[in-house]
Amino acid sequence: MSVGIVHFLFLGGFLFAAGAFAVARQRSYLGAVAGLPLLLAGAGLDLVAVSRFATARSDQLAGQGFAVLLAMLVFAFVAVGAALNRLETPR
Amino acid sequence: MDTLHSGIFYAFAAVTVAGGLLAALAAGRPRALGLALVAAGLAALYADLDAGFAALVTLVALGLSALVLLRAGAGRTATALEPGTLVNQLGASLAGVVFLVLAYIAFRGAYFADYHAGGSFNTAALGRLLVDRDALAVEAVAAALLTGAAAAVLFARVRAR
Repeated sequence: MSVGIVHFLFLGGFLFAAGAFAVARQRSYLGAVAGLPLLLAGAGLDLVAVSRFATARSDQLAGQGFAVLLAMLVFAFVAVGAALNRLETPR
Repeated sequence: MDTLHSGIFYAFAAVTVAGGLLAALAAGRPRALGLALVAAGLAALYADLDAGFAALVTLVALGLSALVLLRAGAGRTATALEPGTLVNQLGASLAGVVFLVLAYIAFRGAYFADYHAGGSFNTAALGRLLVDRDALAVEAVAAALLTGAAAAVLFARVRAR
């Protein structure tokens, strides 16, 4: 079975929903922070897949550029979240 | 895509899904391991989509995030998840609904590789819109969000005392 945009969108949707699930369900601060990378990774995968499959004449690098931006944003989110968690946790 | 690409997709999609489930459901070290699996799977999928640089950046950024999570949760035991309040449960249920909606859109959506009547609509056009034409409005919204986040943190710290 050949793989198309639907497969990538389905996987991106799963990652996004798993991230939303982690952010919403986990009561611990660190658990919620761990859901953010999944949320943004799902969005990044969709962007790259759409720019690969569904753009005929436009620049394919545009979607990849947004995915790179999202990946760096993920690391910034997690780093700030872990630092805040360390500050808030009583010793 | 040929059979090789299909095989690569299914193999690394399985790795990504397993990592995503681990990161969303587990606690402690398995959570960081799950994020590392997502990083590896996603990087391979990006590479399969001819996005080598995005694959490298994603692998590094998500891998470092997994390390940060591992270090942050190193002193804690991997206990079972706390179920959370009713609002948490409701939010988790809504996440399931979000997945169903996204899956429906993925299967039933029609994807046009062209332009619509209002001009080109793609990520480049969106970027131009946000950082060129409406840059001031975007900066105002970003400043408001930043102020709100800082106020929320300060408010939470004051309430905790």
